[in-house]
Amino acid sequence: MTALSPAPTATELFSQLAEIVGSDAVLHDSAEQRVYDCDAYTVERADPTCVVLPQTTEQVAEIVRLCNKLGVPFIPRGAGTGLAGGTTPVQGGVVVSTMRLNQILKIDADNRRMTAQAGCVNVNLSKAVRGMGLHYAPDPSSQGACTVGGNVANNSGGPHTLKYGVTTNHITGVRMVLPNGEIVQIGGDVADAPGYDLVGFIVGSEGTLGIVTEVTVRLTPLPQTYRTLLAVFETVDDCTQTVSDIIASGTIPGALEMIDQLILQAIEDAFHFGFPTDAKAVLIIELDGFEAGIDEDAERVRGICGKNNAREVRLAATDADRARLWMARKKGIGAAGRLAPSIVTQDGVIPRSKLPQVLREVQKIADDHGIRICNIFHAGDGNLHPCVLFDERDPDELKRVIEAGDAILKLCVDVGGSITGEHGIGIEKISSMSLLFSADDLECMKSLREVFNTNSLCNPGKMLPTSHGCIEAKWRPRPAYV
Amino acid sequence: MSSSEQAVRPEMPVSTDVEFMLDGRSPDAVLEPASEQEALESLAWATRNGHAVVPVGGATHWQFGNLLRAEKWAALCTCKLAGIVDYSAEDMVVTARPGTTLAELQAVLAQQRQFLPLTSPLPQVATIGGIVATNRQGRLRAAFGAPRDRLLGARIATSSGKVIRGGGRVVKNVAGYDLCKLFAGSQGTLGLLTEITLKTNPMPEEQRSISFLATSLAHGCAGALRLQHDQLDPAGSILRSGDKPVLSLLLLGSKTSVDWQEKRIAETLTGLGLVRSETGSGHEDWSEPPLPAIAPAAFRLQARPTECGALSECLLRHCGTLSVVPAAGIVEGVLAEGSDEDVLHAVQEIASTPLSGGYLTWQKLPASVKHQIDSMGPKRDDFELLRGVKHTMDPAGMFSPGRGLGGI
Repeated sequence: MTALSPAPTATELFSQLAEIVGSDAVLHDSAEQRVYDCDAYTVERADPTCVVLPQTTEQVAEIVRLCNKLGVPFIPRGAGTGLAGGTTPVQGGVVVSTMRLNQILKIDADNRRMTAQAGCVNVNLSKAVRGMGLHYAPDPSSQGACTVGGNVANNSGGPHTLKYGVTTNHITGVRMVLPNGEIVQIGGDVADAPGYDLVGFIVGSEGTLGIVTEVTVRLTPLPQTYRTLLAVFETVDDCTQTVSDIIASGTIPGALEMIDQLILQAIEDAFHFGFPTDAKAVLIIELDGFEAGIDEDAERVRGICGKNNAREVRLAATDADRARLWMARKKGIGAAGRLAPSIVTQDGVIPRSKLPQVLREVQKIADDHGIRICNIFHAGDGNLHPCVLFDERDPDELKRVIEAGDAILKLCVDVGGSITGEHGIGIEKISSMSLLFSADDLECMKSLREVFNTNSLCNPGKMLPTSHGCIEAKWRPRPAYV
Repeated sequence: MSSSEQAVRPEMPVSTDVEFMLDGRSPDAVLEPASEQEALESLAWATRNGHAVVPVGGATHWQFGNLLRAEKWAALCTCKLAGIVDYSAEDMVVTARPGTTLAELQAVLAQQRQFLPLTSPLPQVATIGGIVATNRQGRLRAAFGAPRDRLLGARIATSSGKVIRGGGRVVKNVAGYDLCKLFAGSQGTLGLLTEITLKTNPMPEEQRSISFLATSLAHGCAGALRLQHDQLDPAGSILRSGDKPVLSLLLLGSKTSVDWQEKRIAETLTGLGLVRSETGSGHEDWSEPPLPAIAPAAFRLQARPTECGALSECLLRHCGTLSVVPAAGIVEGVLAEGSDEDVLHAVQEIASTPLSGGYLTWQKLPASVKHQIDSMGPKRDDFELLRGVKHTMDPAGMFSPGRGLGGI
């Protein structure tokens, strides 16, 4: 990072920031700042110099220009639900929170577009247009808390992205403050701007290319109807084979989620939904679309489940039943907290046809390392979230957990997959980037980052290994949300 | 190129074929690599010999782009860099070399009852590399997105002699920057795509086209937007100019679903005064029509769907033919024949059409007019970033110099 010259005192920095946003929007008390020393990846923490809460794009630009002038790093942050340490201020600096940039600016239902400030909570976008028969399709499990700006940073997914695509498929424009403090509009409410797809490049850039302050999203019609099935299996193999067979059959469900026995038991203990706790695994299969023909699709899927020895296939008979199934899915990881003092979750992706083989190998890895692993994940996308249960106070178990995590990520890459499907690299997986990418690939990414982020003050220490190698060649455990 | 150069590297697949005319200029060489390694060798040859390179597939959009700024240039043809590398039907992912034609890909996918919801003129000729590089999508855009939405991964040969990989072969992947996106729509100005991985779609049980006659383009657009409002979105749509503009719709799904869609759509549109027509019904060819060779100029306007009706009525007077994809906000016009002066005048009038958002690009322009008009539209806020990306990926300025937005 650029050295301060002359170094301002912290008090001078706070006072200059307060001139931009007001003193109530600058947090520098250690108790107030504590929540900003990490995101949902809590294993590594670092104190920010201060936290600032702007309300306008212009304020963000002024903050960034001040940081440039003083040579202070700045770190964009939404709700802090990220799972890879993408907003952890590893080099200190000013955390720029978007939480007060929370206004919906424009709804254009006829053209199916909405423009919102980056700090808007994901679910509020959908709530705002539900009465118009529309919604914002990407629905990460943290959608009640996470912000659309954070979704842009991480190219977030969610259960329904199987059919509807991930964040990048739903963003047509962003307004952002570049790392030099300049405000630019990239894309807009009309898609497919001529020239390079900068919107597509910025989505998933983990806040390293600037601070997105406004997002224009594509709105999607709400399906006319749903059929939500719960298929119950006696073996994990039958369950995963069903996933492969459904995808191969040409049916694309709205969502296709798998929960295994350990998590089922935890969910049942916590919420008493009436799940069959003796089953080895269940699938939540949701079909959506026009009313006409959907029952035929549901019967086809039911047949595939039957062919793969499903013990039972239940249909959610009411909206309330459907809501309960989704609550179970979205609260599943939280419930798994009952199973062990610590949980770490991986986010590997594999080709969907490899699910049966890979889950068998994941279990073997767990057995070989003497640890417990449970699974709750976006099976239709091949996006695994193996949850490793352990006690971090036991150093030997922690070591085995780390080794098992490495083995699982390597397994994903070996079968043609990726080390992260929706959580991002952040600081957590920097050391694994070289499993996927060559030195030339990484150098190319670094050069492209410098087009935007010339002095590396914007969210330093994230995503890409440094030229000196990885920050740390160890895998770090972390808590689990999916 | 001279024979002495061939003697230096006799293995280089270089010819002096002049098939590829660009804005009235013949290439000084045509490079036809048959492998990624040969592509790198072709680029090295071009570097040594001071040639710019212009990647070309089926040349169906060859005329799109600004004037090439290079004294010597080689057409870098992907015709031999073709074929499917990997196709996993059960994963609905296909990897192909850039010179693979759309028709060839569709034929292989069809054997597994899958398809790519991409359209192009002349699918027997149009290549997947060209479709990605132009990021062009028309009639299926609203329901299926653009090529960039299907692009999962790519390998790219760069002017620095390296092969870069972006993305992967899985449907979700957020490891590192999404490099591939930069190449969708890059018009061959950043590098040569040597492998492309795309998501495929299952082929529906039923595919049906239905058509309606409108009283005007605005009337047809209003009908299409009503379908959207009523959430009866068809899988594809196209409205063509004529005495009675024809709105053709593509319905996909199970037979039960398509029967229901047809009934509801017909009720809605006839309620608005559109008249059911047999023209374009049944098994209509949903590929895009090629630009007529004699057309002096053609434009593509991307706008808000609600503005397409008025815009198309306004632009029709300049056009021989005009078509609209209302739900995607696409208006495409082919100008009527005329003198150079007439064409320039029409182009200038069209270019000055007030837009409250959106983009006007020229798919074809006479070279004489390209001196005066940017084919890709005006520079925007983000131009310096675009230039930075170009300089980073192609510091030597070897790939299609001048042809991109703002002469990038």
